[in-house]
Amino acid sequence: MSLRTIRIVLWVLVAVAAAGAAILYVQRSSQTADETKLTLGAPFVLTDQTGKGFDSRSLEGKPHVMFFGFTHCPDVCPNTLARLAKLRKQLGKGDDAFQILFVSVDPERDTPSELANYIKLFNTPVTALTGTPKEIADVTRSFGIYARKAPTEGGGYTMDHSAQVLLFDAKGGFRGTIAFDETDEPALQKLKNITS
Amino acid sequence: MRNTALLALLLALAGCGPADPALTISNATVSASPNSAAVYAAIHNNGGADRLTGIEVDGRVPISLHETTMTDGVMRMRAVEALDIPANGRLHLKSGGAHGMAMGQVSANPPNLPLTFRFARNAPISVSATVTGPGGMPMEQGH
Repeated sequence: MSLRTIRIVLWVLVAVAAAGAAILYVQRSSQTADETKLTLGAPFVLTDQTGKGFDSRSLEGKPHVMFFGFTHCPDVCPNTLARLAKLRKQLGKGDDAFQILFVSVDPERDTPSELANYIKLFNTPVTALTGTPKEIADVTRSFGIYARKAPTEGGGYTMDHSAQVLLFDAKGGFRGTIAFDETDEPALQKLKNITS
Repeated sequence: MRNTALLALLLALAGCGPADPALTISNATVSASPNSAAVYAAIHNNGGADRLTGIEVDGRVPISLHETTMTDGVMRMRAVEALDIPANGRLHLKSGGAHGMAMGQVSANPPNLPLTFRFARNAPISVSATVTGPGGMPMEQGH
C-alpha cells in the first residue's frame, strides 16, 4: 500500500467521522427542540357525552383541538364547531386527523345527554366533556380559559367565555390558537401543522 | 300578562300599516341548535334612520336581540332592546356580531320559518327564513 493510498483512506475516515458527528449534533438539537415544546393545561379527568370518564392521558399520541363553550350558546359555539368539522373535511386526512374536544363551561345545564344531543348536529366525531362545577373550574383555570355566568332578563343566564380554539400536536405540545374572527385559510394551515 | 295582551294588540295594529319600501331584508337565516337558535339577516335601508326593535317567529314567538362582542378572545353576548339601522345604510345580523336569539328548540320542519321583523318607525316586514344547522350546515334528517 502506497503512502498516498493510506493518506486517502485516512481522509475518508476523517470525513465519515465528521458526518457522524454532524448527524449526532442535528439529532441532539432536534431532541432539545422537543424538550422545549410549549405545554398548556394540567392532566384532567372529566365526563364525556356517554357518561363515561374521560382521561386526558387518552390524548397521548393524538393531535387534538379544544374548544370551550356551552350548548345554550346560539352563535359563536355552534359556528366554531361547524367550522372545525368543515376544516377537518377539507384537510382530507379523515376524522382521525385530529380529535375535536368540546368542553362545557356550563356544567349546571350541560349534562352528558345534553351534550350527546348537541354534538349529533355536527355529523362528525366530537368528544364533548362536562363535569362538576369544580372539575370544570379546575380545567378552565389550568388552560387559561375565562368563563363566567352573565345573568339575563327573566332569571336565565348566558356564559361569557374565551372563544379561541386551542391546538395541540401528537406530542401534546401546545401549538397556538385559532381565533373566532380568523379566516379559514390560516386556520386550515394551523390544523395542517398539528397533524404533520 | 295584561301588558303582554296590550303589546300583542299594538303589534297587531302596527302590522296593518303598509310596508315601507325603504327597508328590505335579505339572507334571513335561522341557524338552529338543540338548545337555541340564532337569526341572521341583512336589513338594507334606503330611507331615514330606524331601529330594529324585535323579531318574531310566525308572528308569535319572540326572538331576543343580542350583540356579541369579542374582547381579548373572550366572547360576551348581551341582550339589547333595539339595534340601529343607519339612514341609507345596512344592519347586518351576523355571527360574532348583532343577531337574534331564540332559546329552546326551533323546529326545522318545514325547512323555512316565517319571521317578522319589527321596527321603531317602519312597518313590520315578514320574510321566510331558511333554517340551517350551525355554520349554514344542512339540517340533519330527523331533526
